[in-house]
Amino acid sequence: MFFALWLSTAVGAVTLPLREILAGLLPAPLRGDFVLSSTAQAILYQIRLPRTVLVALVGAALAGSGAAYQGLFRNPLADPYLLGVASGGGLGAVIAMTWQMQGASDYVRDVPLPSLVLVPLAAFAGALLTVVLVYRLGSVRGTSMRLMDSHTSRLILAGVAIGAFATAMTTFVMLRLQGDMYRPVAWMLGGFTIGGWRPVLASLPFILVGLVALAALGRVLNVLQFGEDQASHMGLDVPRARTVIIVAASLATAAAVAFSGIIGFVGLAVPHAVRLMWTHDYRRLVPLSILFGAGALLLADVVARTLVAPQEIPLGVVTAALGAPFFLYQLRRAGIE
Amino acid sequence: MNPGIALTIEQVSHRYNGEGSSLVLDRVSLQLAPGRVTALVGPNGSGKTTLIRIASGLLDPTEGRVHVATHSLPLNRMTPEARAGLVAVVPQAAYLPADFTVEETVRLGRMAARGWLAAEQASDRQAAERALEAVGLGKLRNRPLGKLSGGEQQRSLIGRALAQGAPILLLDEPTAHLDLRHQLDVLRLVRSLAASGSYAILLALHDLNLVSRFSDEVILLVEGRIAATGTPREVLREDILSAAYGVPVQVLEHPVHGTPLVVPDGAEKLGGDVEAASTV
Repeated sequence: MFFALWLSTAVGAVTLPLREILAGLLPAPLRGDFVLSSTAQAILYQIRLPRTVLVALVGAALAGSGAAYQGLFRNPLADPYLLGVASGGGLGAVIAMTWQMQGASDYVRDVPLPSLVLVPLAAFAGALLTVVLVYRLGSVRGTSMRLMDSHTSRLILAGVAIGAFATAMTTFVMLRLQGDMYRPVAWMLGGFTIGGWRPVLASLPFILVGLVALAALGRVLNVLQFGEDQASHMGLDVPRARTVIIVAASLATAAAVAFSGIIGFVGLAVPHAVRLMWTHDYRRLVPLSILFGAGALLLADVVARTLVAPQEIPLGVVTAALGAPFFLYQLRRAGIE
Repeated sequence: MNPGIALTIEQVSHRYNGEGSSLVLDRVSLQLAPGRVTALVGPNGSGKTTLIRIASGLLDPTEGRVHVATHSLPLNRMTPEARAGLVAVVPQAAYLPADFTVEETVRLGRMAARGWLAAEQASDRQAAERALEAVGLGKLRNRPLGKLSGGEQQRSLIGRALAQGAPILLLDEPTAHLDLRHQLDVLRLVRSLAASGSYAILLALHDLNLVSRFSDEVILLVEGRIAATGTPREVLREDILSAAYGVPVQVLEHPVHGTPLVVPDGAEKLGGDVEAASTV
């Protein structure tokens, strides 16, 4: 994790040595006589650090909410991407962006603050709507006790269908857009192209609230592993628990999607890897997923930025390409044991 | 308070699909008392599982009430946490996550007492420990559920129910899919829990011979109505059972225990070959 943080801060068009990064991070009195060039200072504070922090937040949000969705739906395939939540959030975000752009005069790189609030809120609305819809369509009425398998695949099928619909609508909205399509298109490609600290500040509260709530609900998720019926018998208020978990996970997912586009695989692979390597206990599974989600996405982002530099590969492509083989390897290893 | 009664089911009727649909339960009343095992028997679809769900407070009856001891609030109006402290359920064909160990499973029984967020306390660990001992799984505490026998899984779930600290236990077909040894194993455990005097137990069971051996009282449910109730000897009679199940049934005497021994009489199908039928 720390290694990933360092790598992400250091690597880029200009390589910053660790010494300079540490020096730049320390408050002035502690730096001693070390003088950081203003260029290095600018790169560190305006480009590298904001991006590093945002990527870490997004990775944490996707992996943490992925773990929670998997626990809530007792479905190893549930993740923000496959459930359609990411696409639904994306649709909300694009609608907000479009709506804003029609009226705004300066919509180049300098994003006015209201959109930084509006876009995640719209993404949250889209994500929440999607997950409720998927849950309604995907669950079989009156079969809370048995038929787990069909329930499981129904849920994912509903998620994929609604996700595809949301993606189609997103494309449609973008094509209808007159004029500058730079932002939505760049966003779609999974780019962290909005620079500076504003996206970080805008997504931080959402992601923080969502992830803290999910990390605290480990025991509730454990109880839910026995199914909603048994959870009720054990004294869990299941509808309330479901609502809280869905809202928290969707909040984190939406904030991540609003500023990073749709990045698959992190929410699926990271919790899986944690489960296979360490624990099935959600009291530790969720925090570990958050931590390793951040680390994994940072590493993926470094690859995305450097592999064919100066061009950037969309981060979603990298996560899938790196995540899939790792995931298959883990699956195989677990199968042998 | 009447110390003799733990749970009262009063004139409970239920239909699943509102007015006009058929009654799944029709004015069923029963009482559970501490130290006693009450067996719920009846043909498939007679409403046993529905009755257990209503008795657990999870399902609202269309009519009638379920009360626990002196609590004035009906069970289904209580908070889930309060309910779980009074009634614990071992469900039928329960879904089990294979990774969870016996001890983790039993400890989850403390969730209702502790709430969503508060940390586990010493009293929780002690309650879980006592439950583990009571079901005899102390040595298997670290074994995942997926690597247990069916009987051990069932005992883990009973352990979790005990950890809840509820004085009323409802068990829905706890011996389903178990071999002979594990059936006896689980029911002996149930019997010993009742013998401790701390638990009032309702047990839905298909196997009438196990009912005969392990219950104090039998309630025969047919098409949502109580067709007969009383001691095993009073209910497990040829005329009553033949009418209830719609097949000829013979009731013999258990050669060792002297309890009723129920034998389905295959005479009809086998053309009067009673010998073949009695080898069951």
